[in-house]
Amino acid sequence: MNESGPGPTEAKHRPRQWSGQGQLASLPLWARLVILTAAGLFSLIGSSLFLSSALHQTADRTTKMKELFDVVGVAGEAHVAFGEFRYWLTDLSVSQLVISERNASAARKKLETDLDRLVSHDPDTVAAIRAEVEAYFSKAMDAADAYTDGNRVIGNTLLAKARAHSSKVDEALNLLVQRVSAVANQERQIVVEGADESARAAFYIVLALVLIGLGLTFIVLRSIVQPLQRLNDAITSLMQGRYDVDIPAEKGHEFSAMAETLRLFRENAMERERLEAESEQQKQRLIQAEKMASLGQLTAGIAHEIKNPLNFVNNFANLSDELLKELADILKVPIAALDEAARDDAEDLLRTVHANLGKINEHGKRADAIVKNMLLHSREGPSEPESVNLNAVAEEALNLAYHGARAEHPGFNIEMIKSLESELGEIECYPQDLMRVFLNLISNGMYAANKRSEQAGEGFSPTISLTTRTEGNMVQIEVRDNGLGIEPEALDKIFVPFFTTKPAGEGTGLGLSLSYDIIVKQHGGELDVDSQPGESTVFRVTLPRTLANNKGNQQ
Amino acid sequence: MGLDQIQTKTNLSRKAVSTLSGRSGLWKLILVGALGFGSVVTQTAAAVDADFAIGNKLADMLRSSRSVVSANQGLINDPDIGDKQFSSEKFVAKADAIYLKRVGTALNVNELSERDRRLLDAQRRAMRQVVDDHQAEINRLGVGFKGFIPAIFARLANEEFGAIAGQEARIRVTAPADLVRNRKARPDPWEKNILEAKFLNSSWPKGKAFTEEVDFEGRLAFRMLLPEYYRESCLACHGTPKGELDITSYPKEGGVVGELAGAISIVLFR
Repeated sequence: MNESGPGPTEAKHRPRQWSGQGQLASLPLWARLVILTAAGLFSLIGSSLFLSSALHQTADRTTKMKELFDVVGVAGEAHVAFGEFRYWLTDLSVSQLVISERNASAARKKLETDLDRLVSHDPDTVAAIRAEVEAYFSKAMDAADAYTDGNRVIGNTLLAKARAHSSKVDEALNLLVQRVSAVANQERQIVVEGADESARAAFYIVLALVLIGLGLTFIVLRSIVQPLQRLNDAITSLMQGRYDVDIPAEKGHEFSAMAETLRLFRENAMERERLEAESEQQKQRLIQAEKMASLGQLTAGIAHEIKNPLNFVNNFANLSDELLKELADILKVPIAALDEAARDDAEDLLRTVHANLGKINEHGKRADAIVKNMLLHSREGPSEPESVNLNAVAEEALNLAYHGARAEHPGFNIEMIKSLESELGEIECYPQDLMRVFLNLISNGMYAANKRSEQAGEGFSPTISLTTRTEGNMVQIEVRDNGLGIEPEALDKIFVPFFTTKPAGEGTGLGLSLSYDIIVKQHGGELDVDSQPGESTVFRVTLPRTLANNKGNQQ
Repeated sequence: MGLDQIQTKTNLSRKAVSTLSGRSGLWKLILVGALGFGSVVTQTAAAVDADFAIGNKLADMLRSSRSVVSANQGLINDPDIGDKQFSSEKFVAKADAIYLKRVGTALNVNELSERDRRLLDAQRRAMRQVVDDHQAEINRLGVGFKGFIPAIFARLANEEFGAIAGQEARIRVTAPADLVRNRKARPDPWEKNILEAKFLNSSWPKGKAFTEEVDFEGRLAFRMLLPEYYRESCLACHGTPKGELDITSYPKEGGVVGELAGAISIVLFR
């Protein structure tokens, strides 16, 4: 009884995944997306913090550097201003133009402003420069006045003195520029290197973040896409009617729900298909049952027709034997008078005819019994409860079943073991209905044993055993075979009408159903089954000795 | 006559001159006389008048000669003319003509005092000397602007005048500090004070000179300061736009016609 066949197996062997992804797969989709987004945001914030810190450092350095270059610039401007200052004062001596004096004054103002800006950086140098500038100015103006007054020689002398001071200013400003430039260039080198380093670090950080982001995106996407793909494959297969497809045992809230739904869908679809097939089978069995019913009627008619000629055969055989006995008596003296050889022949002929007639009688009676049984089995309608010897009924059922099987399968043979309790006695029952039950159970057992024998081949001895025993105030009849057994799935259904595991045409699916009705409903007994698939099956009929309601025929 | 007395009288007469300058000498005499001062005062007042008159003459002559230089700038700066026939004699003649036109009466040597004649003669010699000294420059071919402009001419002529008659008189052109171009023309404290306190004051009558008897280089001197105002011919170099470079590459002062341009300062030692 293996109706369901090889069932779909759950896909338990997914490729091993690393535990992180395993954990990821058990998270709901929104959580995975939140993780992905959060990872992206965190890396963005982290890299921004790093970059802004690096930028701050660079900015501090740059500010310092800029201040130094500012100093260089201002010193340079001061130098330029001083150059202008000197130019205009020299020009003044030559041109005597007031505008040269004014321009010199403006240049000096600019120079002083520049020097003011340099004071904080190097007060000593600035003070020295100022002193020299003042000395230069004083001499240059004296020279200009001398020229104005027409004292050319004095003017030249004073201008030479002024030049000495202006050289010192030049020198001091040059030194200042050189010194500060050197420091500023050092600082710039540091800034450039720092910026290079930051840029490199930023590049690697961004590269790493991009790679991590890509990896994470890939993992998360895969954790979503792969289950979806598997579910999609399963759905496609199911749509094509392939119910043996693996339904992936997905983790994760959404996917496991989808997989569970898919599984339920498959079960429903399979159940529907099975019910459709069963319905078709039942239809076939109804047709078969109709056929069997008409065959039963036919059988009853044939048996009745056979019974009369058989009576003639039996009666005339008996009569002929009696007539043979009379003939032997009559011929007793004449035969005795014959010579020994003739006498022996005559006596031998008489004995042979007597034996033949006995055989005719014996086989005729047997044929009569068979016909009686056929009539009994095919008889329609309820019978009256009787007190009968249950052993006899069971034994007769065994014999009938055996002959039935032999008639159906000429080469059929089976070892029959009877273990009948001699003190079982009579019980109140409907014997013909019980006979049906026993015939069913024994026929099924012989069928199963025969099937196993056909599969196992030589060396296997099909066996059926019939046992009766007393169980308290009940009696029990046990039919055991060593046939193919019944699959657990089928065991629940064997008493359901039209359920059968036999090929179409070999069983109606009604036998056990009727048996159940007869034992349980009609007789108030019990019908149990116990089976080891591939080993044996035991049917136990437990009956009360007396019927609870004498007229309760419910069939 | 002691120095103190003179100083006192000088102060009085300065007041009178300051108030009455531009009026006729007769009026001054009447007024001074009416005030009832003594002979010393009268004598001093007469000297003041004489100084005032020669001062004006010297100034007018300077202006006239300057005008000649100005009027002949086209000729002087013509690079294509070699001998420009711009001799000192012609120059002085042109200056005299302009003087006549400007003042209304020509200089009459017979009407002049000895000193005045000396001074005017010295001025005339100085001007001629400058023009003679610059004949080579003036006649130079191929050079346009030669820098022989009225102001330069005037300074050189004044310096030459100083060289000739410096013990007796000085003539120079000065201006408010912000208008002075050559530091030799910077106003001395006296000039500066008058320029700023008087001439630049909007209430100062236009064209009115300021005179005063003061100590100058340790000597008593009659000092006279005559305001000069921009005329159209000045503005090519001193006009607008302010700061634009003129032909001498000096930024223009942004002056307009009628504005105070400077002053002719005359010192007459007593």
